[in-house]
Amino acid sequence: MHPLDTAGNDGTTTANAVLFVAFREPVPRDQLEAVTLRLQEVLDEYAADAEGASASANFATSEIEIDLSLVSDSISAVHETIATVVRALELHGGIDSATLGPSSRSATAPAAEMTVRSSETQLVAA
Amino acid sequence: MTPGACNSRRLTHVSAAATLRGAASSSSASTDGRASPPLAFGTLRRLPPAAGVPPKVSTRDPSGQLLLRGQEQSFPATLGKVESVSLAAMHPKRHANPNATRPTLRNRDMDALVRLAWDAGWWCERGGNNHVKCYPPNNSRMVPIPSTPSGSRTKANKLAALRRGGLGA
Repeated sequence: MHPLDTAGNDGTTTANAVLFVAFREPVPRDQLEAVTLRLQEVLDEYAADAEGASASANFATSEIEIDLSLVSDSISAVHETIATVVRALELHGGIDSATLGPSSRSATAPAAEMTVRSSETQLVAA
Repeated sequence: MTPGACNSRRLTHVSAAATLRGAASSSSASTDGRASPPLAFGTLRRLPPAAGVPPKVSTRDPSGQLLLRGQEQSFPATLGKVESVSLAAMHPKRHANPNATRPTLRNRDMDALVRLAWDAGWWCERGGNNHVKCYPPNNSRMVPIPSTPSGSRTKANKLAALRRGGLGA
């Protein structure tokens, strides 16, 4: 086993991860806020493996940042959990395929598509 | 006399008595050499300011820079440990609404996050779905704080988002 594979003294790995959800087209602030709150609901409901996941809006980059604090047995398990979160966002949050629903989209706003642009994972020593 | 007024009067008497005891014990150490006349029990007397109480108006921001005239920010003496926030590092809505108060949440941890952001000059307002939306002074982000945490790591994740927005920088 790699020495970095278990960072905690109790054999668990703790990691902080950030997912950056970007729009393919520019979106106004109010729409970015609405989508952020909607993704937060999706995380609360469907991302039980990453409990307490937090979504926040970055108006400067027009991105939604999702903070994850993960505790797993190994680094591979951490990334599996991240993949589970991305899968939940795809299925229920409209990422990558679906456009925004009519209730959260203003009449003048374009149909915006989202995608997970990048992610950062940082191992935290116990 | 109303009950409240009665309680207030009683507390004032207790304070006066404490002052009387303090004056009696320190009369020998008076700097001008004159002993203050003893006070009869029940005499109302203005208490001297307690030692260590900061001035009511701060002329410097937390980084130590001198504020311009008119930019000083007053704060209650009872909040001596809370440093004044530089007006330049406050959200524009805080400038426009100087008497605004932050929204409060029942959950202690989530309310502490809102208080942390508000004390740092952020603007916090209630949004939909039982969330409080927090905006940093440069208005470049929005961090929603839920009224109840969804998990045991909600606080840590929200704090990470707030820090990326400049909290504690």
